[in-house]
Amino acid sequence: MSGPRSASLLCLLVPLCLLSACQPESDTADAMPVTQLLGGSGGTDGFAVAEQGVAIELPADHGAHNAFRSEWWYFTAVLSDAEGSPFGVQFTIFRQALRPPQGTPPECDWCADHAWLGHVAITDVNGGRHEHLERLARGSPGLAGAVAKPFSVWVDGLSATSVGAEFLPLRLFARSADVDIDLTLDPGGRLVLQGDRGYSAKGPNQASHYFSMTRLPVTGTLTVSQRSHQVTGHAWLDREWSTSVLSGGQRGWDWLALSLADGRDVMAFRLRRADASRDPFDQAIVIDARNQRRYTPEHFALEPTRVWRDERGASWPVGWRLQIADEVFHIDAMLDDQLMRTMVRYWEGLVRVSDADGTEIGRGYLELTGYERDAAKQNE
Amino acid sequence: MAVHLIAVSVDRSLAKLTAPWLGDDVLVLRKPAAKLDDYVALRTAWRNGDLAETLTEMTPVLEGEIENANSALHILGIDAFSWRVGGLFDSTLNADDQSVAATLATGAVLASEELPGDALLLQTALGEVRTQAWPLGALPENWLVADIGQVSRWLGTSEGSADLSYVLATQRQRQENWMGLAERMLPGVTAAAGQGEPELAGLPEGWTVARAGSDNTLRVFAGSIMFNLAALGSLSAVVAGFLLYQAAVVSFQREALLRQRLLALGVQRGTLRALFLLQTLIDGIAAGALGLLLGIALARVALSLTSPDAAIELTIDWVVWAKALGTAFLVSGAARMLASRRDSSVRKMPWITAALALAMLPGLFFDSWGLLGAFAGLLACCLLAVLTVGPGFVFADRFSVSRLPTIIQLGVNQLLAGRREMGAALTALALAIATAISIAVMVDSFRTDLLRVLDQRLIDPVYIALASPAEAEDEAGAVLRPSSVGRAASAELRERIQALDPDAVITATGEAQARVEGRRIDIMYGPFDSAHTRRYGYDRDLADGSVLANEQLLRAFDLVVDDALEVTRGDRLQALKIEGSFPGFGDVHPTLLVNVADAQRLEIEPRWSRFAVASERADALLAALVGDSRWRVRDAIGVRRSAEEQFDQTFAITRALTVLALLVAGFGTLAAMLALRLAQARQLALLRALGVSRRELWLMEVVRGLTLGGFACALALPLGLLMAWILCAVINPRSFGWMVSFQPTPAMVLPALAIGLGAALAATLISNWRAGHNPGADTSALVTGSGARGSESFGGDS
Repeated sequence: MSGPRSASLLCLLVPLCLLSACQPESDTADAMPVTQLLGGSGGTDGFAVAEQGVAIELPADHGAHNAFRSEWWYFTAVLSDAEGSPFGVQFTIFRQALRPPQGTPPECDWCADHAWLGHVAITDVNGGRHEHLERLARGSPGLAGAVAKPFSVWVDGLSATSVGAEFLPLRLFARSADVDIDLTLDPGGRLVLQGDRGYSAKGPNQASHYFSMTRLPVTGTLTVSQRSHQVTGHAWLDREWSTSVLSGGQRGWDWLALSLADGRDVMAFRLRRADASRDPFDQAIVIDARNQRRYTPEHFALEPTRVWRDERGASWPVGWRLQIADEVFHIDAMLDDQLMRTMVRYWEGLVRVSDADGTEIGRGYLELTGYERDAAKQNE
Repeated sequence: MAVHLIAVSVDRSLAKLTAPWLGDDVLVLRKPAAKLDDYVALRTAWRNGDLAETLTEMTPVLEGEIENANSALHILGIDAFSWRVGGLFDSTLNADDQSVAATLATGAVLASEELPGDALLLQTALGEVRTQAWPLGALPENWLVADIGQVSRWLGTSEGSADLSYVLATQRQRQENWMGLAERMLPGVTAAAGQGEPELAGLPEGWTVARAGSDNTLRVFAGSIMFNLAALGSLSAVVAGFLLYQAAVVSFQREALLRQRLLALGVQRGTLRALFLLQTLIDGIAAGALGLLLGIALARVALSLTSPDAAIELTIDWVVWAKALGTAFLVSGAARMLASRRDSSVRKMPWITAALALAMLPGLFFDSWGLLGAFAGLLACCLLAVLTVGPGFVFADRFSVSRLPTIIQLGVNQLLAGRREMGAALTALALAIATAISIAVMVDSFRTDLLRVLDQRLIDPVYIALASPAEAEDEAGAVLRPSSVGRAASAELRERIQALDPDAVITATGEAQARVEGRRIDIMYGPFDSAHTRRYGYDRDLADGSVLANEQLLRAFDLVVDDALEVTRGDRLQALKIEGSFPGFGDVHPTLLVNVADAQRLEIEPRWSRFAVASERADALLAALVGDSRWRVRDAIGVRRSAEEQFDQTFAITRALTVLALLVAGFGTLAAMLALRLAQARQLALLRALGVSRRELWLMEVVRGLTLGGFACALALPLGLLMAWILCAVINPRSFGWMVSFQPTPAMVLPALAIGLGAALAATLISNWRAGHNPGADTSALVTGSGARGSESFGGDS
């Protein structure tokens, strides 16, 4: 299930929507509501929509789906160096169509039909640092784009590129003054078709195509604070494309992707609705070597236990209690300040998973969105 | 401080007028016929860390012209998607990157403020396009900024792969480097020093880099003016330094006995040093605060004199405080330090001064040293002149005036005997007079040149310029006037002139921009026959392929007459020969005069904007044409008067500064005279006791003052003329690109000499008057022995 990830993307794509040339009459000074951006009330405007029964086809679906309004390649990695120091990496590339498909190539080299956004972050737990960078580019050849085979997606110097003809091994590359990564993701992980064989319903009339690849072995180099670290670990990829994925009424979302020491992977999320009711599309999933077990809202609970306050006064819940069936997980940020101070601010960072005795039983990534808006509303 | 505040005020005003992409931290990267692939390779190299890490953002640019109203609009296409945080428009639009990017990417444009906002109508390659325009005050008149995709389609470059005009890249903010700090402390110093061509290691093959600011000739020009003012303003500090030294010497002499007693009583030397520092601190705070207050007042007065209509906003920030207090501490501390050690280290001072002067002197002869080098050379001349003061006293002492009446001899000898007290005051006074002479000669020479050029240019009685869209009043209230209106106005103007005077001869010119070696130049095109070229000191027809260049252009590209140069415009390149040059007083940009045919070869579509009219019925023409908002009409006399007024206003500050320097020097001379009188009180008392009358003593004082003034003038006259020549022949060309003819006359020199002589005499008389209010002082000095120190022998060696 990909609801929170979708929501996260949509939040990030608000500024991209402002770039869109498909709304020439609109007042550019006002942000478009997220639900409208996601097609929740605005229709699909000539874009393709996700349909049940359409199978995920690889390697074709690693490439871009320009008929859909938006899509993303979302990598997170749990890593450690030779001394055992923990690190985390987020590497994300988004595509947002600026206008419905025209059926013809753009009129000129510089005439872009798509905007691309890239976010990369490194968490250095022992160093107490969380460095991140953001890149935005027009979809002109060379500047940003994606191809299915040999796979490559890139935005202004950030790239995820297959090393050979196959999707894996895959190289993640980003370089800047503060963030420098060169990681290779190898075969050996799990392919998870989210929802109904890759058709992920988000609401009565909203859906996306969505699959994940978990526990991809990772080796490579991270440079943070001008110190390089040889790291190993495993990564989680989410691939999703859609035109209309969210219904209205959500204020934010909390999302978790955990890799447990016993070999299981856990994903869970909750959507925070304006009326405080539980969203029926909240989901959790537990994946092991043989099974993928899904849980509806009645069978799992996700509650905050600790908050961290940022410099603007927004409170971000960085400690959580997750109960799935009769199993309880305690989740805590490995570094409180993993806030993405990007065009749209959100919290995405490395977390530790403990059992009831406090013993670490895994690590993963937590994503929180919409809390800054909550704080702003409270201030009003 | 007044100069600093004025300079900052001017700089801020100019910054508001500066196109954002011509900022101090912007680089221009060029590659002939660069395509998207070239840009991607360049950007990838930067993103991979192969280029300097100081780059913060980069955008491709398509620049062109697009028609709207009277004249073509310049349009700049940038990549709105990459030009984000830290980009050019953040500060100018007062909005974050999202708004800028959103504005451009939705197909709207940023437009200079005079253009219509709601619906700008443009004649594009796609036909007539109506677009929303957001006003951006920082844009120069008739400029638009849009997304590069939009511009590519509007300019009709969508077929195939469009050539990029260039790539802009920003560097870290200037406040982060030392040059930035120096610029804030001494406005104009960056322009004066010349930043040289930037280097960007790792550039892919074929790319070159230059500073975008070099295209911003207005700010470079203004920077030179500011540095000129700052350098002259700093003269006050130099003069003050001499005077403080003078005062400190007297103070130390007075306090010598007290210091000895304190030491005898067991006071530590460290305590005395702390006391010394405390005195310096008090001096600094008092001088800094007072200087700041006076500076603010003076700046307000000066700005209101030079630009009465401008709103003056003086910002007193930390830099102003730091500069005021820092200068005061520095000057006061240095003067006191030198005074405290004058019996030891000061002996080495002439040698140190001479070495310093000789090191700076080459600045006059090497253009590459820039304006800073020129002022260093000027300072070197001053220092060398200062070094002649000591030997000058000795020389004068040897040729004692024994044939003159006794009282006059006594006056002269008394001054010569007090040379230790008077040396610094004399130096300060001489420097102030020399500066006044140099400024007067330079300004008046400049004025003479300007008037000669005006006489040459203004040979027709009537001059008309088409109004820009900003000036033109749109009677219909709509701003969507078609581009043909400009041509229609031009045609109608000709018709009306011909109707009023069929014999009138109209000489029309137009203006455009082009580039030489990647740098912007102005082109004035027209029918340059002999009648027209005579205005520029060239009395033949200008042949095709030949041009006249202003002095700025020749200096900017290191060219001389008969050289060839390559002019580019878009993808057109034209080789032209420089047939002659002309002075470009007031021209901000390097400028070429070219024939219409050559302009057309550069794809300049003739668009006449200026008209000179030779007519016997000038008055009737003026009366008939004045009042129409589509053009501005002036008669030759009015143009000349206006130019003279602007010139005089511009140099009002400079003249005020020289008077200020003379005033400071006058005060210093007064202080020195008082000190000398104090030092020689015992001798004066002895003279009184010997029967010398008060009248004779007064005459002696007058002789002393006149001798001092005479010495100062004798030193100042050659120094002032030398400085004036440096200003005309070295500093003006390096500052503004033009040379001023050095043409001194007695009328330019005498006022400064008279003021200097008067200041010395006034100081003497005032000191005498003050002594006269304490009638017992002289005789009591005889009894108490005070005043013996500091005057080794009464009357010197005579």
